Amino acid sequence: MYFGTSTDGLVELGRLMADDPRFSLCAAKRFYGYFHQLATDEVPLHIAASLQKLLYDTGMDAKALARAIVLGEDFRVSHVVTDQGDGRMDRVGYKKLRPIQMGQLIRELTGFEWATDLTSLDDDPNLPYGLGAPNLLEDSFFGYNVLAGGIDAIFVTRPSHTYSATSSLVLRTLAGHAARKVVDEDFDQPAAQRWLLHLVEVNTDDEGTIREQLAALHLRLYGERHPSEDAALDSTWALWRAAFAHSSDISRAWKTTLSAMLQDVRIAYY
Amino acid sequence: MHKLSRRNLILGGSALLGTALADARPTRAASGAPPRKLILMVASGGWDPTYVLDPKPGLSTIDGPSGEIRRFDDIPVFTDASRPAPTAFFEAHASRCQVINGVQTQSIVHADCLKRVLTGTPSDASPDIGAITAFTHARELAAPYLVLGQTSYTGPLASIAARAGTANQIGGLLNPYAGLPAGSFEQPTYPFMPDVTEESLIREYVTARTARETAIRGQLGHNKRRLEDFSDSLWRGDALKNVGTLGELDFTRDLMVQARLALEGLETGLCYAVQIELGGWDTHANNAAQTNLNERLYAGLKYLVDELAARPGENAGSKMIDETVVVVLSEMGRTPKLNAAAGKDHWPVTSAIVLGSGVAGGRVVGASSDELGAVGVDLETGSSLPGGTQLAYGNLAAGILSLVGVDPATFLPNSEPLHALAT
Repeated sequence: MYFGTSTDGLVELGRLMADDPRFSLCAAKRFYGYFHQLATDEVPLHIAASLQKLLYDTGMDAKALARAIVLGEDFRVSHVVTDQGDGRMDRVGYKKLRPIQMGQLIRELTGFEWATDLTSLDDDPNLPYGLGAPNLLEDSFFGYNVLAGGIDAIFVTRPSHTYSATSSLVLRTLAGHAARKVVDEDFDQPAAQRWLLHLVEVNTDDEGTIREQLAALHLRLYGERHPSEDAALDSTWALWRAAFAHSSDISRAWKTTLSAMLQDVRIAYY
Repeated sequence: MHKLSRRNLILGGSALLGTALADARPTRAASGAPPRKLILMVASGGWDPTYVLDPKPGLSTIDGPSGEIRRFDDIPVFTDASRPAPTAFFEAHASRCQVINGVQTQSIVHADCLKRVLTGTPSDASPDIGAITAFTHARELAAPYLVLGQTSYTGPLASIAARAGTANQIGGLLNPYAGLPAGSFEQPTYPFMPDVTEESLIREYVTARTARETAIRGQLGHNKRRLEDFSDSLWRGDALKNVGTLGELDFTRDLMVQARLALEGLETGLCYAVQIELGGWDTHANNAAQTNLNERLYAGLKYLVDELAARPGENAGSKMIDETVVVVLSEMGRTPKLNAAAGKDHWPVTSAIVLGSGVAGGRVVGASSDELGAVGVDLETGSSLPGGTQLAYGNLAAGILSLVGVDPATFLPNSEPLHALAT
């Protein structure tokens, strides 16, 4: 049954749903709202209507809907510098890394996965059995998913798409984990097998080579392409230099630098 | 009193260079009441009001505990030797308390009822009254809304909330050695821990990069708001690190510990509203467990109010209780009759206590019938109006907002406040 209409199997049910303008409009709003981190009632009706038409035109193709949204002008607004005068910049813009995205991004960049093996707690009578090895950015009970802006669907039912004290602390701690791992592991590996530090060794301290490495990091982490002598790298070079001057330890200087770079606003938002 | 605010951190020589405060704190809100701090104490799971607040002895329609009615000021309380803590609490503080009975929740689902009684709306996109209070009066503080329990709704005001987490995850963030390790307990790994100088270098870099991003594409609208939130989150996170005892809020979520942290947070100016919580009230079997739960709740509540009455407030000669409103509520009540497991199931009528500054204390407002139905109420006087409009969760929430100096029409335009809460 679909709103009082009898159906014969899932195919017919699907057809009835596809023909129902309420369903397609709702789908258009939800897709747009998800990608732009807006509530469905904040999605402008004219945009929802155009996406609904696209759904119809493509035979209810969800991939086409998603593609249209992320390739649309609204999705570029986070990187627009001047106001276009159409109110778009007030409605949409930077998107916050969701907790799971945060974990995926750092894993792709550094190989660090924030998981904890709880199997040794299986004998604890005060805890549920079989906790396994949860990813702490995906887990909302023991982990940091909620504190990073996610939901647990019981106590917290709406995600937070901005930064708070706790989501800042989660990002900082994650950056610290990833920085430690990268530096400890990279200098033990041949350059071609490293995560991030391909151009330096544990005894490299000359400015030219360090700046080459920093330029590579800006490209990899932020998508910013700068020549190594570019002034845009000066603050990162100053950070590395000051950290090295403080500790006289090249590994520690890189951990300090990467901790900072991985909690940068360009990591926090996209 | 030293307050943990952005302004203090900047003046204190911190490297956290921020923009000027966006909004000045109002001295008097549109509701007519002065700004008041708020402590929300949530008895989650659904309490049985007949144990203490809404006595119903001797009725064939209701299965209740044993006991007798005693009056404290003009509040009839159901007392028993097995429940000394409620008696001790009302002996000490009845004159500060208003009991609200017969609150209609219009749902019997935990999550739905919780969002209704806490936000005053049926939408989980709405902020709760703690978040609204903190946002309206003190968004410049480090952790305007401190959530030490589990259940709170922040909606669009999420950036001002600091949550402890279901298993006190905040303790692990403030001290990674105290939290769950990455890897395993046998072979743990911990994050890089910068020293003070390195921490300062990191912060200087992140702050400068944020300022650069703000200058390029953060001057308007959505981007501007998000970048301001990011900047604020940096010093707000730092301020939480200064609350050393947060780590004591362990997995058991002891109510006394929460109450102590709430007092510390308000007293130091870390926060303006706090949510604390005692769970376990969902007694579908063995409803008699409500006895022990009430003991724990009222012991914690008495400690909290004793301390509020003893500790100095912000103004000369005042105490914290003179500047604070405490709300104790549960999302639902329990059925009149016991079920086959000697438990009670969900019921859409509940009770609450509102106490503290500006509260018309020593009295009961609203009522329930002999079948635990919500009786109509006059929102101005609090008198029962059998056959009249029932007291709904939105009226209570709006009344509390008005009491703490927030214009309820701004956030709950469709709910008339329970005016009888205020003196």
